[in-house]
Amino acid sequence: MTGFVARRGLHAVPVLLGVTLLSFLLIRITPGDPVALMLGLRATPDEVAFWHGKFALDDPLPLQYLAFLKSVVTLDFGDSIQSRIPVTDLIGSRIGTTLSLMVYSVLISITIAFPLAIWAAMRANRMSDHGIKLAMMLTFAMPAFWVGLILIQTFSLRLGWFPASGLRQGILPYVWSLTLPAVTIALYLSPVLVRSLRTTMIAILRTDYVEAARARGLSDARVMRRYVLRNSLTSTVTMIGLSVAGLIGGSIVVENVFALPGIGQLVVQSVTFRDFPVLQACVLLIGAWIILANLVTDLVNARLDPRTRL
Amino acid sequence: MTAQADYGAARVRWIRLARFPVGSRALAVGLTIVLGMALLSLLAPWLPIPDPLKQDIKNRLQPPSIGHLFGTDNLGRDMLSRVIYAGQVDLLLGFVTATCSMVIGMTLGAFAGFYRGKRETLIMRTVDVLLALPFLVLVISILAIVGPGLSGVYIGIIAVSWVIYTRITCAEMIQLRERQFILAARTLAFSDRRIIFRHALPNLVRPNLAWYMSDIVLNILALTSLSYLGLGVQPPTPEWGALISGGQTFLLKAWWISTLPGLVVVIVGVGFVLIGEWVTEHIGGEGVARA
Amino acid sequence: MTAPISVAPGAPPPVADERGAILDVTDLTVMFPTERGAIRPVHDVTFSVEHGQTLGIVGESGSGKSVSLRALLGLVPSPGRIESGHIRFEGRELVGATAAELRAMRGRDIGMIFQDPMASLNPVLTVGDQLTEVIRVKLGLGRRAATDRAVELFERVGIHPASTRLRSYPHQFSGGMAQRVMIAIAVATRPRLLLADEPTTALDVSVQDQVLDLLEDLRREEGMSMIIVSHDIGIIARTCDAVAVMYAGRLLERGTVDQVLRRPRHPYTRMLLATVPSLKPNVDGTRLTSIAGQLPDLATLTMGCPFAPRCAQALPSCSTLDLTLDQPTDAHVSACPVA
Repeated sequence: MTGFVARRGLHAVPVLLGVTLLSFLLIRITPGDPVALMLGLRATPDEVAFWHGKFALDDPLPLQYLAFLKSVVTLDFGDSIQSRIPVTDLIGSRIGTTLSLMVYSVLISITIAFPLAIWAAMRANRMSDHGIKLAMMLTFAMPAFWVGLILIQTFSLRLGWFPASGLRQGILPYVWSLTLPAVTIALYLSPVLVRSLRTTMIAILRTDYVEAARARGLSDARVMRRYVLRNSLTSTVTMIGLSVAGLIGGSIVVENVFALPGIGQLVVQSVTFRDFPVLQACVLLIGAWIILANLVTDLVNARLDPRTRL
Repeated sequence: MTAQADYGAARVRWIRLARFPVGSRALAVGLTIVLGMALLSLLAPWLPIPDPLKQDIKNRLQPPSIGHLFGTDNLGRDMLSRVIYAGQVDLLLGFVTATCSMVIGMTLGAFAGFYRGKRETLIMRTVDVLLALPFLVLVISILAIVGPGLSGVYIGIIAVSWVIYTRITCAEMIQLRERQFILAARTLAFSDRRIIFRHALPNLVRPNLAWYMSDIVLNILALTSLSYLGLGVQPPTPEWGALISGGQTFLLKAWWISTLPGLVVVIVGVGFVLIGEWVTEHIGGEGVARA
Repeated sequence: MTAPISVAPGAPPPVADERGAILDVTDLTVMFPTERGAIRPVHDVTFSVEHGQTLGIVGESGSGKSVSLRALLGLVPSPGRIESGHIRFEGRELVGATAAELRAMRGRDIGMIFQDPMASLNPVLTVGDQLTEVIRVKLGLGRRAATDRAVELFERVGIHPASTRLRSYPHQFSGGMAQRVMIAIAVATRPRLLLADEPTTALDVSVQDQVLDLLEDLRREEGMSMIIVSHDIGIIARTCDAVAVMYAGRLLERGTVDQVLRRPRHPYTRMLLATVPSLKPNVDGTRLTSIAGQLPDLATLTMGCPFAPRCAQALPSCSTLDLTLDQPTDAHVSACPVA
């Protein structure tokens, strides 16, 4: 098991390094002087000099990269140009929101997707297949922010069930204010989940061991629970792991629609204000996040399936 | 007896007609939507619709009516006209970025798959790294470098979208290069470039076509999202995402400003997807929608 | 390849229990609707199993023998269904019984083991879990008692050390051991009838004998009746008291093993017996015999004997033959009037 972990971790390292390279190159590719661009017209010579030094822009590229790696490891990303707060503090205060949003979305998606997939798998016919395909097509083509706005229109403004924007304090209000955003994201995740779950379940329902379980006279509920669902866990976990990237992309837009103080909102702000230190750190964080998510997915799957566990 | 038989036959016919989404019916619907929208946008200057930029404050925030099928916005501009003109911007971007990405991506993929070895490793590793990050994040990063705006979006999308084509093409090329006609070409000592471009590439296009359709949709969606976020087109250029954004403050009073352009995006998107599904079934290639 | 057929010479046919048959199948027909029309993988099949006896159903793949077994338990995969006929188990009619009644009977009164034991066990649960599950659900025992019983069963079927192996997962067993697990699960509730669908086909030859011996021991101890389905005549000869020969959904011959395998009356049975490879070459010098032709397409079957196209002794009247075997079920009957 530890060997497996080590091997998977090893595979992730080059990609992680690649992400750091990307993050590093972001600023260096900028045409013209990135620092001048970043600071704008009001820049004082001192500030310009400081940032030139910080980014080590005058050194040869490999040295710059090493300096960058050093700053990554020590988590020293400097201060945000826009708000003068250390980048790490800025990210730290916002990461919780985005994480909560993602977890909440996944939970909602699973709650919707599982019953639907079970129902569709039992039917396994043309109609349900078409229905799912249709749902997937629609959600594929719908802009996330538009969906969010429609939800706000209906459930917030007209019905008053949820707040239209912002994050509330306190456990219950917090969850309540995250609900519409989470539902928006869940609307994208669910059809994908339903489709893959249903395919898996249909395949499982045809296996010998399900037939054998039925031949033993076990009830449909029991067979579904212990034989079908248990065996579809790995593919579910995989699907969720694969959608983390999409979840983050979705949160960028959704956080802006609902004015949630998360990483997504931060990313957009950092671009609008050319706040490179923040952007760099965010790109790095997001890349690492996704790589980590894939790693965790593989590990969880390995743990779940007894065939790979021992 | 005959009535029953007729009913049975009619029922079978109905079921066959409703066979969806693949089959030429899906293709017909998809093509109608896409070509219809494209035509509308192209012919916009000659259509009997008001100037999209013409303000008419007296008639601001009017709900959809005979005179204004999509209503008017907060400055009295006709929404239908704005939506149609916005189609020019969005459809052009979708088509151009997808095509450029496909050309770049396929070329890189063909090289990687043909030569293998170090070239393949380098290219595919880059692909892996780019795929590790969400599409929007990457495009936004590029916008930070080149500055927000429509041209920035073009650059950003093309700089990122090529990866999938490369992956598809590389895998296909690896299979292809062992096939007879390629081996024959190599024994005939044709130059590598000639082999790749004249012999291999035409065959490599097929698996990319289905993704091409999805790519157009994703790119248009990216533009709408970026414009919504203020990083895409600048006012007063009409663009679907920008139109939706403009209606956000009037969600309750004038729902049509945000809702209707979005509906158009969905319909156009579904049109492309339908074409893509047909392509997948009849020409082959990777599936259409991705997470 | 199993050992050549040997039926103990002069062995008297097993005495039928006075209680009558434990299972009476009459004119059973299973139908699957397809785009090309209805196919009947089981067509007007009649057989019975006496108390304490083992019936073998032999035939090629696609003869309908496996579907017959599943029909007995009401497990015909949809869209197939039992179209007509009767299945009387201990006097109770099973065709038309409710799903709940059938489910109650499965695993408790009638048990079943399958061809591929590894594929028939849930890969994510321990074998002990699956065994105790049946014991608890079907016998109502508590967790402790169920585990004890599970240990007993494992020891009985020859899995040692029992308590440790209960915690293993299916993939950690070899094929033969996995089949023992399946047998343990099937007999845990002491069913009166055990169905075995090609129980040794997926196993190594050396293990086949062990498993068959185990089945035979258990049958004797528990007084179970068994139905063994196989394409391997050797196995049928070795373990069964009676045998039924199926082809393309039809029952072509039926009788005791001694009768059918020593004095076969149907051309198909004769050909089937001739195909069993033996170490002695055939009369014409060849070593392997096969039956010319292929299985008929069930969708295009019409009336008459389905074997006629491949039968060396076919007459024109064979294509309109009525195949009903309505003699008393313990006689040696054959659907062929010619041979």
